[in-house]
Amino acid sequence: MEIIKVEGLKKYFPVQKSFLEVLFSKELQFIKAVDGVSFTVKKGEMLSLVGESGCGKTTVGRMLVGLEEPTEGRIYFKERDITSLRGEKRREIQRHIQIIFQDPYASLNPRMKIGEHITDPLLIHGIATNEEAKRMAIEMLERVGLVPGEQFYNRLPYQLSGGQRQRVAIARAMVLKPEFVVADEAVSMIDVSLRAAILNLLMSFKEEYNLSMLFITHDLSVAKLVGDRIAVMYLGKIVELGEVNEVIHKPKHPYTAALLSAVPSFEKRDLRVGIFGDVSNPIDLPPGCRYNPRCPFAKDECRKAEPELIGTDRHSFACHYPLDIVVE
Amino acid sequence: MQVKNLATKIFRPIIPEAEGRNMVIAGMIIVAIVLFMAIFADIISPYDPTKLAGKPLSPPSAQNLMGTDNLGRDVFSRVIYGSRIVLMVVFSASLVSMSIGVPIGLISGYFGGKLDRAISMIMDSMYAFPSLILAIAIAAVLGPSVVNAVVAISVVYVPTYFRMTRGQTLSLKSRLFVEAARAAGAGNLRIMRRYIFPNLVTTVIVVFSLSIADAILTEAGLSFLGFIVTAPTPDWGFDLSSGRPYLPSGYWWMITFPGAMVMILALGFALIGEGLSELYAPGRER
Repeated sequence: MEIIKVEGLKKYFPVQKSFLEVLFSKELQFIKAVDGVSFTVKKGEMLSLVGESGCGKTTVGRMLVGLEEPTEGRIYFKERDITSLRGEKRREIQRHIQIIFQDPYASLNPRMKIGEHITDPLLIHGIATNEEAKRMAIEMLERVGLVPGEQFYNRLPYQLSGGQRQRVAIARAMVLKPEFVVADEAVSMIDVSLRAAILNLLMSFKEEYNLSMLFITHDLSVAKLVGDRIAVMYLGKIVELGEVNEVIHKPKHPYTAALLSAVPSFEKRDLRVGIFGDVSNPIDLPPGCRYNPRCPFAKDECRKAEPELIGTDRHSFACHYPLDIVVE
Repeated sequence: MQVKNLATKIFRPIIPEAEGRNMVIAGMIIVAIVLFMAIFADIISPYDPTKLAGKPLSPPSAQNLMGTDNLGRDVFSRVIYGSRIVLMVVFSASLVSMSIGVPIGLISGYFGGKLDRAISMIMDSMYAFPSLILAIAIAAVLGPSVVNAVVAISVVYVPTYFRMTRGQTLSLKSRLFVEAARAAGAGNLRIMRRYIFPNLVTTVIVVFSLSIADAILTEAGLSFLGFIVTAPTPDWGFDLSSGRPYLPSGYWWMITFPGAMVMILALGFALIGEGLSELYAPGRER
């Protein structure tokens, strides 16, 4: 069953201009942060969304949890259109869709007890009374490895380390027993030594609740580890989407191949796919394929027509001249 | 040395050991002394502040510590009793302007838009007036009385709280923990109450003590012009004006002591405010 279905999602941010510029030019400019993204996440499935910073992957996650309003496109939760739901109806849905943010130092209220961060969602949705909520929060704290829960309940965020804070953020998202969770770079600010532990914690929740997750990351090695499927994003579009093994071992898009070449490894590798220059300006995209200025294989066709995402459910890609390589 | 140790012992649990701490302690001592004067005026003051207590215009002596005024009343007793009105007016006015300015600033900053622009414009135009001038204008319209003085002074300081609260709210509402609360499904009221307001409290406290310091001067000015009390009620600002005609003839004690008290009390609150803002300086969590 499809938990989340996204169709043609777009988010354009207007470019801030000075008063004089507005006066002399009528044309409004937009940063095309997300420019037509479609994907589905099935029940119990983990979809990794990979891409470099600024490619719009975080904006996709924020739109899914309702923090950003899409410029265009639809979001379906269990086949129900939730794109323009507001107020009480949105809140009902919100209970099933949670987010874990990247920065554990900024995502907790410095003046609120750790425990209250976890009881708050329960109280908002009227799931438990004050006492029940407190009991559930303590249980949840111990579940995420903050033992003894009673002690952690009464602490303030500044008394916790980064890893502990991220455990709190995970507890806050999971206490509602959501069906879909967006993990926005959930481990990228965590000390490397703790990353595996936090990832295992996330995976244990996935097993327990049969969770569906959108795992946003810039780290292919993490995506490879956790994802059932991978979506690779470049400049607001998905350029390659498919099952982990397919995408990692038989990359079709030169951008995916370049990312794979960039992953550090101890083994000697044959794969060396290059990448030129810097990311194009998201306000003024290049004609044709938006990757063409950086692609070592770009031909005339790539500068004229924009490729669509084509292929099967197992593996699809947006490239006129897909690669035919196998990576071990 | 012993005094300092004692003070440290008393204040350590309340005030963290950090920069600005000594300022806060000094300010608190001053305010505590004046508060003590106001509460126990009946016991401390040697004479009735409205009755004859010696030869008129006699200089400071053992009988009259700060001399007597032109009607033979004890200046020392008047200074002690005078603290009551200042403290009452200034505290209640500041509480009123805080409880108006903070919620309006919070709502205005949080929701933004046209409402915010309209409220900000009104507040800014009020803020453009020098505080004393605006207070005089309001007091003149309402007429002289203690209650009207409270109204006048509280109106004057509403924009101070509004601007501070609105500015802080603007920056707080885009912080990640507020977005996290929103993603969890929290409504606007809950976000304001549980996530934004608690992060404003320290700033409100700092602004509260600083604006009290300022309000003391405004109160003294209003009182000097006769907008608060009438004779024979003792009040520092009022006593300044009644002593003023006698200054050129050399009767300095009639205005020096009430004037010094105004200055010392304002200094006390300013020290607390400045010290606290140093204690809560950015970079120091909590």
